[in-house]
Amino acid sequence: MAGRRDRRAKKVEREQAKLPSFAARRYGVLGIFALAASVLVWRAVDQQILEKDFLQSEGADRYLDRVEMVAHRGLITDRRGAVLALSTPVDSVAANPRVLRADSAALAPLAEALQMPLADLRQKLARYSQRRFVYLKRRMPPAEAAYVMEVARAYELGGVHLEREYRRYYPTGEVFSHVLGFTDYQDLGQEGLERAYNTALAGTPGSKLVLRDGRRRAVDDVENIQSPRDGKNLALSLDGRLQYIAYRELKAAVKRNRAISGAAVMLDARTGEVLAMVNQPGFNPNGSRSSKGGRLRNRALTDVFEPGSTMKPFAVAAALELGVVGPGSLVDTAPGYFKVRGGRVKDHHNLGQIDLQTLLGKSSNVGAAKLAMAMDSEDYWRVLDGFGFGQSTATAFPAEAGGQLISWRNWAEIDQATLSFGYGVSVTALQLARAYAVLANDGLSVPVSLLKVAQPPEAQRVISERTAVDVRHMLESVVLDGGTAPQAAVPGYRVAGKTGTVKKLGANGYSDDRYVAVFAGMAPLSDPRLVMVVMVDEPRGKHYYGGSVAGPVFAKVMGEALRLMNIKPDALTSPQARLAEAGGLQ
Amino acid sequence: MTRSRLVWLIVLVLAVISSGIGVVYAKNQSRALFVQLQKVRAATDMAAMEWGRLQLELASEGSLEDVMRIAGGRLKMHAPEAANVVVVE
Repeated sequence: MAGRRDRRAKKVEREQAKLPSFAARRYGVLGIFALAASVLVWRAVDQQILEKDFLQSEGADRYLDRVEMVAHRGLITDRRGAVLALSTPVDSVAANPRVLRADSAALAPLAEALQMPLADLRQKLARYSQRRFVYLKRRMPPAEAAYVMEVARAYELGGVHLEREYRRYYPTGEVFSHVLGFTDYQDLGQEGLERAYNTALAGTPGSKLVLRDGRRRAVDDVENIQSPRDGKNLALSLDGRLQYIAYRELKAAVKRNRAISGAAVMLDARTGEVLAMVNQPGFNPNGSRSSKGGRLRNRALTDVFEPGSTMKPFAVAAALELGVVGPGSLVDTAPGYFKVRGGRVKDHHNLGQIDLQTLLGKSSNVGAAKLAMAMDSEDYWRVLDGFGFGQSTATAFPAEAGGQLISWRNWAEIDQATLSFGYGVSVTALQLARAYAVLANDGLSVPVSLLKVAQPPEAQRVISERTAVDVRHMLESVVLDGGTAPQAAVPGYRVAGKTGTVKKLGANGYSDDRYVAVFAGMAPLSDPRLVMVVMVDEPRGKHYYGGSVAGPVFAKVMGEALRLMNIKPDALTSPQARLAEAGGLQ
Repeated sequence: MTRSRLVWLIVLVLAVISSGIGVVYAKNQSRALFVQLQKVRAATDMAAMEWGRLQLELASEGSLEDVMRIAGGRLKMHAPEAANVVVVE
């Protein structure tokens, strides 16, 4: 027994002697494992805690994207709510030429959907084959663009997508073109009221977070970052109907008289609202918008001219207001010219002793100059300043001109004299209309506005009601037979107005064959509501007088405007009189 | 740990959990509503587009120019002469 046990013990001993101790190796391996584990743990800590923000944002960048949400540009309407400018969405079809190859099969149906020749499409894709982006067709109606996408999908053409853009349409075309202006390809205002009120019209775009897939397509909306705020609508004071008629008549007159340009403005005398403002030459805001010949300019607001004889009523008004003359006073214009220091003022004919009505009706320069010379310079200037000469019309319109009225301190005697018949002072058509509106509005001046006015603004008194009424009644003779503008008469209504035929100032002083024809007037005379100024630059036809060139435009537009605005005729023979005339009244 | 402390602890743990769930719920709700808002916005856009198209159509069909042409041409209408106008007081 003992021997067996010994053997076994010896065997164990032998085996133990044969097997070395692996402790070191074991610890070595364990150490390596521990090291690897701690590196992994450290890496995890590093990524999960220390670099967490950076890595998360990197990840988000790959699947989340901030996308702008478009704010719709506001409408522009006329005073009656008719749309004048409107942004509608359009889709531009774009392609990635690296995906959509020029030699792709099934390009033919795509070309057909794009409404372009197959060869053109192929050529376009070939030319930009190294690029990642090319517009195939810009600004298609959304329905047509959707059809293109359908075709692309049906024929499994990759690399085609749509980009949404906005396009502004002006349904009234050139009629409102100068007032409205237009927007650029980003739908931002470039000219006119579109530019003046761009901030309000444009609104503020918003942004949102979207989820994108592997091909960068937005697959889901995630979060609203900022809601877009749509632009505000703009209601103009202009009336689309009057504007259209004014545009039609001015265009015809400029063409008929072979003039360079023209402008016309109609004002509501009580509220100061501009009801129509048109210019020639015009442009199509939906078309090419070439600026050749200054056709983009809103001349009624940006271009100044010397008002000529249309300035005389203000000399008369000032003289009456300052008490230099009375309504019944006579002015001696004989012998038809009048010397002042620095020059000579003359009339076409020697009119002799005339009253103020004849002074205006026959448009006597000498008479007006004599009134002017009788007034104190500063007082005269103050009245003209009150009428708004040399004062901006402050409509916020881009490039609006302020005209010029030299301060009385710098007047020479001849300046004071010529000022009375409208030389040495410059105005825009709107300024002149505003001054006539003071006469129409019983001596009160209201600020003019291109936007609809909710309630009449506060008026400022310029001259007394008595003077205003007197002057405007004197102006009636102008449009009666024997006056300078019988063509400006409106059947059924009493009209007051004044013509101007102004010599243009050139490089060599005042020209003898280049004129500006002007007519400024108001109706109905018994209670004036509308004031209108028509200016035609350099008529080169048979006529060049304000009465025969600008007068008919005034008559036509004013007549239609009075009818459309339902203003009661004040020069109709009464029904009783008519019946009596017809022998119906016993 | 006293009994009252334990109760407080449980209450606070529960409050934390429920507020966490609340955050998740609110976030989810906001996303769902936003997706809905986007849909409504798209529908508004479609409606606005259609409205714009109709407005443009109205402006071109109903322009004074056309009305006057049709009135004067096809319907042979004209504005009354001043002599034919009687104002009824």
